[in-house]
Amino acid sequence: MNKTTLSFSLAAIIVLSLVVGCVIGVVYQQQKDSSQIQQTATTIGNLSSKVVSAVVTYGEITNIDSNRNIILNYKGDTMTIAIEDGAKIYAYENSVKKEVQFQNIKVGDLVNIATTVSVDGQFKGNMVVIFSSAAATAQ
Amino acid sequence: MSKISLIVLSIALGLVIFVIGGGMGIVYQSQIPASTDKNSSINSDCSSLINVLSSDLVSIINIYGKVTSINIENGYIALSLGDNNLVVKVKDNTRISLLTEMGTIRDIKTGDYLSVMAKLLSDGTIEAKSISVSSFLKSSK
Repeated sequence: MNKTTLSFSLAAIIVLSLVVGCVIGVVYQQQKDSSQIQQTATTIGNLSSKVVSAVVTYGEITNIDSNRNIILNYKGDTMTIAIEDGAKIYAYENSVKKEVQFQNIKVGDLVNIATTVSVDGQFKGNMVVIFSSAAATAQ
Repeated sequence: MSKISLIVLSIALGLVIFVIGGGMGIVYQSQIPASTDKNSSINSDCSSLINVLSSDLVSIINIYGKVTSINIENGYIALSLGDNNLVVKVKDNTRISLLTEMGTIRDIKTGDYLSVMAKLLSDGTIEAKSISVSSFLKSSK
């Protein structure tokens, strides 16, 4: 085999291997992504079904916006929950559970929020229980 | 260099380049979500949603439904309510309460109504932590 043929063959091997590898890599990642989407769609479908009566969340409130969206944090994980207009809000005062207003919820409160999951993966809160009030702790 | 050495060297080189190409393909495809591809951006949102749902932020998932099928071997119970269905995984340490006494998956029958407290696992499986068979007395008569 002369030098030119050898160089040409090596170049062909490099290009062909690179292209084939690249295509297989892209296809592999696409399939992985699509199986993740499928898994998530199934999970959201399950959680938004009538069989699930509530998804109960627990954490510290880090933000409340004017649209009644609450950001909940627990050990670094966060989620946004839209509190429904008719949601029941409860707080403990001297170990007695009392119904309070949405305005009583403050950033820093430790809460349980009973939510439902909508088909588009949004969380809707229908009951909030304030366990530890940031306002009371500050006093 | 002998002909055999040359062939072996070419195959080895081809394999190395193939692996590098594969890595480049994976990196390229996994970078698409954030920029252009709409479906992939849904994917990144969705995968973080599953992570959140399987984290400690979600204390418990309350489930209520009628048993439509039971797979005792693999520990799966299918529940339905209306036209909605759900499968929960039952483990050996799942607490199963039959009103006045504790039971096992073998005590649960098709047609029973169950109240299940479950957690979502990172692979999407809904794992039952405790089960109350609310229609046990009625169904066992």
